Amino acid sequence: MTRVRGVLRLDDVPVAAQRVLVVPETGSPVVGATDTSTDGRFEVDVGRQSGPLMAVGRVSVDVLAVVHAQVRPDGRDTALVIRSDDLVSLSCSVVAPDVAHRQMSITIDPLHLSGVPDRFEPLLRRRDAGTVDAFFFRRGLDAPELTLRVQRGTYRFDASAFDRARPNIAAPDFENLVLSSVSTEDGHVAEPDGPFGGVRIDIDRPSSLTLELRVLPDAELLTP
Amino acid sequence: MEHGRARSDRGHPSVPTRGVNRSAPVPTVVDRFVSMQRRAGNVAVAESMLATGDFLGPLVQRAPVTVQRVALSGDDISALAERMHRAMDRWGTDEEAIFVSLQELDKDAAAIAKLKAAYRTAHAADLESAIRSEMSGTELALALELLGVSGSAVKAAPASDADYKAAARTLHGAMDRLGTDEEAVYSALIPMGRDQMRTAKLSSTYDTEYSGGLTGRGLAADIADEMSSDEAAYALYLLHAPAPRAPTAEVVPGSPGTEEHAGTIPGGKVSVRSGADFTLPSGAAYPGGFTVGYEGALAPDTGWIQFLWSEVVATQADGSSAFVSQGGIPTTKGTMSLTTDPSSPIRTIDSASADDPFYESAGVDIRTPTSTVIYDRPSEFGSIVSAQFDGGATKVVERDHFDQFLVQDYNTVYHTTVVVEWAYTSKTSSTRTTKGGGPGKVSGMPAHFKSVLISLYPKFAYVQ
Repeated sequence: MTRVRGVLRLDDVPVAAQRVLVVPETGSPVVGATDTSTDGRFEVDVGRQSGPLMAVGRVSVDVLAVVHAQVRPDGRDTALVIRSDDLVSLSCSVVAPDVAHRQMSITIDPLHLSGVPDRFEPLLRRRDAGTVDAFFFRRGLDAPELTLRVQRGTYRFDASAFDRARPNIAAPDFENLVLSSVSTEDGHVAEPDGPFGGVRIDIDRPSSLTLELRVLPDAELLTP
Repeated sequence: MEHGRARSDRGHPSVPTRGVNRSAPVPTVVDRFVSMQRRAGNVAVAESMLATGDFLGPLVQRAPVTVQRVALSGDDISALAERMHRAMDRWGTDEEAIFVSLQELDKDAAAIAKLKAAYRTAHAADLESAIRSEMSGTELALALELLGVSGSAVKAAPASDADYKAAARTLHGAMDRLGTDEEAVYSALIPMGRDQMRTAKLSSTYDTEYSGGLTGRGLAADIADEMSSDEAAYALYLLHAPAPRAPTAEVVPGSPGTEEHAGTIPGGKVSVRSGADFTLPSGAAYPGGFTVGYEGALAPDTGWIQFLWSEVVATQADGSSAFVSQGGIPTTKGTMSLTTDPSSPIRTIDSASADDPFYESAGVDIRTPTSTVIYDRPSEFGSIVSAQFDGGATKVVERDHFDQFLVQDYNTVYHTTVVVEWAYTSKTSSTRTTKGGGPGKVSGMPAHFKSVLISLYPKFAYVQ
């Protein structure tokens, strides 16, 4: 039985309640998964393993980043450290029509990240051996502005205020809202492929995005 | 969240009744459609609505409409007679089944006479004599009063603060003693007519007059604390159950689809259909939905509670499959989570009302005096599915598992199921299949469903 121990930090600050996966160097299969404790520590049994192992830490709080390091073969702490210098600021503004709606939420999923090998990309939303998280980062919005620090890379953006039950409600008192477009500060506008398609944006420097929502008619929900 | 539906007579002074015309006038269109439905069926109703434009009229605008309790039909009377026979033709009389049946008569002499005749015809016995042989004491007294023989414990509907205080006093006195007087509790609650304005005022009066009552937590808690399970179920049904539901039509049915399951209960039949087409009040056409319907006796007091759990399985780039995990998905009653272990489904109740678990309370349905059919065409979790493909998945399958329970008065009598599956091979290409079925007749709601019901809608703990 191999026990993997370590700590996840942002610079010198421990990061709590974040997912850590343990995989062979090839990136699969997942042999261990756990969440960091309040002091940023993680500890997980990975069974009997041969060959080097890698620990991959996912951070999806006000910082979006993925870090990896080789597990120390001597059983001592493996350090997963995110450097602030590797992050850039990302501001998102969500603009919605003035209609009654459910709570808005935003999702941000990294697709490619600077410093993360291709073989680890399938781990970006992996929860454990048999489960993936639907999204890397999803947050309900109490305010239309959200500012994060993120690792450089390509991200998928989506936002909505959506209740799929709406068409089956006899007298709904709200509208469904979905992403209409994402515009960057330099004027580039991207539109999603369909109401739930999301938009891919490269973030390689400090960025400000405006996510515009539109009302989704019920009829658009109904695939044949 | 309340969606502004007003099918009950909340806020109106009249009591919904059967057989006795104590209801305020209802819109003419309701009368017309009810009459048409009886004569020509649902399709004729729907066609007429489309032709006249009444479809977008008073029914779907949810203007406050007093519940119309039409006179009991012959089928209703027969069902009540059968229910009473079953209640007495067993070891240990089911007194509450007798009371809930007799209260339907609302002490109306004509209805009572019809019930007696139906009972004699079906079972070659005199109903009053049968009751006298099965019951005694306060139970018999209440039954005979509801049968119009004698007694005055069941008062008229309260009309003044003094009436509410008197009812509260009866309730408190019935429970604040050694051995609860259950029939006194029922007698105080029956006149409320399941009018939620009245029951709320009664509860408030009870709390005020008796400082929260025996438990300090109010009338409902006192009933639950002082009465055994069957007795409490009936009393809490009288206190919390929705008023009898009035006719309504919120969709225009198109193709009825394919019948996936059919079954019967005493006095009625159940049908599950897939591939049903219908049009919503917004005008949106809804192809390929499913319907779950009941047609038969006692329909105004019969409804569907629909449970739901969902799973999404994504095939990863390496060919492995993984369940997709997501919590916090918004619903009217909070949030739901995707199930990642099908052996332990994470269920929710598919109701758009925050205070009523019955699908008909806010979901689209067609209800007539003799039927209730719920219409559903679930939409997939499009944003979750799409995100999986962008994350490298090569195939995504979503399955929504529905369990519908038919509840008549406070008894769960039938269980049906529907599974809708979407198989995506890309973000925009999918096939959808719907399969209905059902375990069939049940004698109660299984515990793992009941616990969800109680956690989300505690007032509906009375459902057995």
